[in-house]
Amino acid sequence: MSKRKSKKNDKQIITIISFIIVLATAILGGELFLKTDKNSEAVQTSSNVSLDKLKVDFIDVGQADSILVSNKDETMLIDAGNNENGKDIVDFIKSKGITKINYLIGTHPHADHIGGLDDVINSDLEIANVYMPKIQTNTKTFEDVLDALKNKNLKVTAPSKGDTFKIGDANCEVMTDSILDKDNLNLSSIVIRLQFGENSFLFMGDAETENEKTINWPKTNLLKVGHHGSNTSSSQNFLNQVKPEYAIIMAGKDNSYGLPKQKILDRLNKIGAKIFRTDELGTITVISDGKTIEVK
Amino acid sequence: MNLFNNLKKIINNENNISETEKITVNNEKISQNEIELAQKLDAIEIFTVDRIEDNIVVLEDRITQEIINININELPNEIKTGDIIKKINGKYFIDEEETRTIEKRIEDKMNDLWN
Repeated sequence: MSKRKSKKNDKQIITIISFIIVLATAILGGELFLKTDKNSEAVQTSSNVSLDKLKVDFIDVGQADSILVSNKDETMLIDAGNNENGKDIVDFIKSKGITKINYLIGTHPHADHIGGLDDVINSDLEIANVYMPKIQTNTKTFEDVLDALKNKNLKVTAPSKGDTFKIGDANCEVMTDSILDKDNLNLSSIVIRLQFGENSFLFMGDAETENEKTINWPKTNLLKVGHHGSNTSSSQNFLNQVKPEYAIIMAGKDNSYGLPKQKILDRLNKIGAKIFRTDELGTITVISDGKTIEVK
Repeated sequence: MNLFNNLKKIINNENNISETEKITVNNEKISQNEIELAQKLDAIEIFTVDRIEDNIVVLEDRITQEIINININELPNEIKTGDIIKKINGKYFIDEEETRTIEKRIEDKMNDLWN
């Protein structure tokens, strides 16, 4: 009986010890596991953060526009510089490891905005959607873009005010309807506002005051200043509404048109915007984590 | 009828003018000799008006696609975006016939592409 009892006691002890071991293993192992998990999470977080941040490159293409927006493997290219910039833009995009352009935007058919679009379309980059206003011009540059689109069997959408689409986690909205005036193609500019977390961006193309007057503008953190800082755009009333903290001006060094105009620089300064110019800085890269904007 | 035939017709219709006498087309004075020489030398440049920035007309060379800037005062008064311009012996003329031809061709291409 006592033997039996002691055996029973032994069993109990073994059970208790086993339990303690299991418990200890669970706690220690768990903690270890948790630690590894935390570590991997930390590693993952840091890599995720860099992947998940919104990146906007204002590519230095001289007296012209080209802007690459990317988030979570999705991209948008707004304009493609002058004719001679096409190949450099394709190389720039590919150097970022990008193989697909989800939205290709030709804001309006002036040669300093659509010049390199044919090279982008004819490259081996995959293109999903093409947005351009349906307005004609007669340049060889424009015809080359049309031929490239046909060659790649791509269709074009002329977006309307209120149209929305996403680039990764960023929400994009077309802000105005194109004003179709053959004598002033700037007025047909596709204007896009992008919201990423708490940060917002407004890409004006070459939109002018006539376009600015058509709606009430929400306050926006970063403004790609319309028409390279020309007097035709960035009216005081418009800037009062947008109140940008950052103003990006895309212009060529010593350009023939005297852009950006001092009057516009004064207006932007007065409203408290920090001005960044591609003619002074070259390519400007802007990073947003949804809370803060960093200009490089 | 292209720009040159038009120009020649205008020159020839003028009574009593010699080959070297100049008449005014698109605010420019030009003679039949200048036109024929330019044609022979293949020295006629062709441009499209891409845009007008203040008093600067931005022209696209249709062959090289180079962009050149010309003061608006050096160009015909009625110049507008999309015009086809020919440069003969340093003078610029609007080629209305070629403008219409190119305009029609591009219009047809556009109609196939937009959703």
